[in-house]
Amino acid sequence: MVGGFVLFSLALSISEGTYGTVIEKFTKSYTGHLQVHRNGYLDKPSLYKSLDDYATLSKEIEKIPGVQSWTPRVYAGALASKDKKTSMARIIGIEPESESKTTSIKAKMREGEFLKTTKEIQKNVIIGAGLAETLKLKVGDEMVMVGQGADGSISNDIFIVSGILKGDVYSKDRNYCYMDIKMAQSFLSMDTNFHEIAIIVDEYQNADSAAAFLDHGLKKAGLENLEVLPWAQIEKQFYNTMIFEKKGMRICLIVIVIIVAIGVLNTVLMTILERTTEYGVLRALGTRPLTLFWMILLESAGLAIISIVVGFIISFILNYWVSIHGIDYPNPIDIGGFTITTMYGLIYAGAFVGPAIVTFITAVFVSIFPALRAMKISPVEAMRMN
Amino acid sequence: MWLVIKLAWRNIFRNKRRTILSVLAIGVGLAAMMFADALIISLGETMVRSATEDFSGNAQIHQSEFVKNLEVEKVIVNSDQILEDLKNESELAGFTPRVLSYGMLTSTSDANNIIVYGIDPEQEKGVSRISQLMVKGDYLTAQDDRKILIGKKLADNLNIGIGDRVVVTVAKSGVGDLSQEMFRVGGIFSFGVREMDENVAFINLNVAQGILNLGSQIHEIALNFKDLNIPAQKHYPIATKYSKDGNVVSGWNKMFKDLAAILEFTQFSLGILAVILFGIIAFGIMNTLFMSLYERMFEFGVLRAVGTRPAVVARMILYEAFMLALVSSVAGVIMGFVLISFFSKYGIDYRGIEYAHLVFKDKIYPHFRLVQFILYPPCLIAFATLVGIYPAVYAAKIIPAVALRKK
Amino acid sequence: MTFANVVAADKKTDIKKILDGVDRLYRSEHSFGTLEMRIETPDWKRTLDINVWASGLDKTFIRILSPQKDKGVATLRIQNDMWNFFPKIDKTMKVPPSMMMGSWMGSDFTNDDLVKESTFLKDYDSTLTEPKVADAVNYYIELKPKEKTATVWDKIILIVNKQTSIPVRQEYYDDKGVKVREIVFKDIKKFGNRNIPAVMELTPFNKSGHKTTIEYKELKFDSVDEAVFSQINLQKRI
Repeated sequence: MVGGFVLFSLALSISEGTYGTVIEKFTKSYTGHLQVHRNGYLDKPSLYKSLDDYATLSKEIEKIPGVQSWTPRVYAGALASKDKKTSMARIIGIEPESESKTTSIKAKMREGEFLKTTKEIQKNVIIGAGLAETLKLKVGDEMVMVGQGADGSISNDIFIVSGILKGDVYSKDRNYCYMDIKMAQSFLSMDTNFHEIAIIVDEYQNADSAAAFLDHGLKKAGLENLEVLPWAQIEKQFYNTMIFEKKGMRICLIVIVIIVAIGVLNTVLMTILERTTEYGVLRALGTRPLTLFWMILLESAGLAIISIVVGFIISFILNYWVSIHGIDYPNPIDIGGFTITTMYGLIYAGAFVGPAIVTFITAVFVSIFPALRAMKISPVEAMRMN
Repeated sequence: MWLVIKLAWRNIFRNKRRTILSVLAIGVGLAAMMFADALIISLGETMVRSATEDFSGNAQIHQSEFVKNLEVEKVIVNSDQILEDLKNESELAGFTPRVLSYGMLTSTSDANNIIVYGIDPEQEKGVSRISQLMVKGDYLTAQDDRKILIGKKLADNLNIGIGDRVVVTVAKSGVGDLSQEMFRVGGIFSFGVREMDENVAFINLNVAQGILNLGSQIHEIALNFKDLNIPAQKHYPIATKYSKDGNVVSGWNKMFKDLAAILEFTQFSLGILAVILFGIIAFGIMNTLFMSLYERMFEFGVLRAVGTRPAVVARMILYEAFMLALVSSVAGVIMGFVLISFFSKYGIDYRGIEYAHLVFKDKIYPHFRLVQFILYPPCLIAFATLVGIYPAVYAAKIIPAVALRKK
Repeated sequence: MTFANVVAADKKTDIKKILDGVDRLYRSEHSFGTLEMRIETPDWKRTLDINVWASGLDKTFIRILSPQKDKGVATLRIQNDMWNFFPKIDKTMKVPPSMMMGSWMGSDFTNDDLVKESTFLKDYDSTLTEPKVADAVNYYIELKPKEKTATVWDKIILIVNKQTSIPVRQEYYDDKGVKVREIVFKDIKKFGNRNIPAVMELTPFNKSGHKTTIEYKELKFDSVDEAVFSQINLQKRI
């Protein structure tokens, strides 16, 4: 019973922890836990659907319980070229310092140096592997970009490639071009406007409530036409993937529950049936059937509780260990540009409550039938059985 | 020896109820493993099929430089010969030639950057499902030289419907001259994937070759394999055979990296789950063995007292573990078989759920894999016997005097 | 064979002559113009001062004089190739063919409007129509694209002054018969020996708040030095 409890708890911890790791890694890789945009930006992005009042927004964001960091971003399409080659590029203006605190773009670099926040606006860019490949760009090379400014002017400038992202021509970020947000704003003539704020809170599970909180706060502050969305709605596909994986895992967990339940059933049944004679004696001594019934039930419950307590101690230690040290993957797995090397467990109440409920309920439930039988047993028969 | 085995066989059936319950627990575990395996495998296969067989194909042949920037000039080398040779490849379920180019699609209300594909309407049916994904209008026929198929979102963006005029602008191969052609929207498709529904248009292969000035040259051959696993391998005959002269064959695991990663991740999760399941099964077996051991303490005492050697006692317990596992495996295989058969017939409904940037359009039908039958049951038996060592050693150590005094 | 036929034939040549005139209105063998382009969108407004050199239908050179920010930006088109030069970074960039149909410098004119080689006369079938409201001053010519003409328009109505053959308005219709955009010609001035509307106002009806106006300040039909249409000239800084 203890074994079943421990392993069930471990399975829960690992399955939850794995999704936790993946979701945490994914959201922290770029998206953040929640984002703020101008209404309708995500559905149909446009240079003009921008946000302006960063200070007020920051003030409201700061009020979110458990908020950790946030960072503004600017997006635009442009043509990048070197010598005679031209290619489409996606400009992403980031604020290097707060971006590093919020997400892990830095970790996606293959070579070169990450952007720095400096007083003077730097013309450094970090480009996707596809762009580097197509335009034959190396770290330190110059790259020309032409786009359209928010005032209708033709933006054009020379940039210096200071870093190249991992990946290849099949990667999602193949034609990304990260630059300092101030550079992007001046390149695109958009003053201090920006398109997005990505926010990280303490736990990804709190994204929904944080989004609701911020939405309320912004409305109260009189900021209209803003859209606050949690990661699950921004990265719908990824979210569904996770839900789906979880569904698959749930089937497996149900199987584990069944096996654990059968194990409990076996144990309880054995302990009761072993002592049929005893019950016969008790009945012969004049114990009332109902008392006998409750006695058996209580005994099972006691057994279950002991198992749960012992199981809890062992599984807590085990889960704790797995949550700290994790289980290494044989090969690191790369999803959407971030790498997962280790599978960690997660310590959460459900990992203990679930197995406890299963153990207790099955123990009590399965003892009902033998208990009912014991009630009806005739003392003579029971004693003769041995 | 035979006697010990017979004894062990009898012993496990002494307490029928307990044995049946144990067998049930272990059998369910095994059946669950088999089912999980069948589910994950077919899930993976369904995912790969959804990802690749809507449009891209399980694998593609290109000129190796082509995918970088879709330069019109980077055509497949010796494409005629390759297309001819592919007809004789028994591993293939289908293949189709394509040309594709960046371009601009203009309607009266707006212009959109697109990738325009020239396809062979008939051959395309053997690889992709465009013809089944039309939501308005009709699929292309070989005679339609003025018809274009566009995505639902593109139609919305450009505010156009069936029969409306659009102009496609592309650059001709070699000279780079602009080529403009008027088409009428013949059909609107919906893949349910934004990139496809917003940025792609299809016209007839020969028309596309004409406006791109390509003659009979092509950019891409999409391949479907009878066995999906082949194009995910590092080396396979078709890749080796056709990756030459500057051409390269890329399998789905290269084209859909995230998908490959998620599959790998799922496989690993399955592995962990297997370990945990085996752990639970092990506890079940040990539990059963110990219970019967305690019950028969007296017997063991007698056995030892009459001079049976500890090794023989230990062996008997091991045999019991083995028998228990064997019977359980048989039960498990039967249960697993029934379970998988049931679901392989009726399927599991995951339709409409988006998974890894694609949408399931079919039910999932778990199916049998030899490994489920030849790997898991023997593993379980071996494992159970291994677990039996502990009670066996325990039994061997029984001191007759102590055991006899117990009852 | 009669009188009616003769009149019809006469009208046909008449239309042809008008169309040819409209086709060549701003594009003579050689021309040099200075113009002001006012672009209005819901998000921004700006005015560009531009010099345009043209030689026949296949060579165009455009240089922006102001605003300061875009000063010196130049576009050279030779047949289907198009380059932009950016003095700020001293680089020339070839416009990728797929971008040619994009808007030119943010205006409602597409690059294609600037580079197009199609003409009303050659690529459209024309018929004279009657307007809904009787109009004694102008001809209403309905233009239907020929089979092979690559255009998105289902028809164009060209409204031309009967007396002067100078265009008043062009209306562009889509397949549903909806008027999608309109160019209004106004402010007829004499440039050289020709009378030409100095102002062209383009309004796309499907994009509210958008409007582009071109006003010619100067237009000459003298010969233009072929050296204008060269990479060297493109990269000249002003």
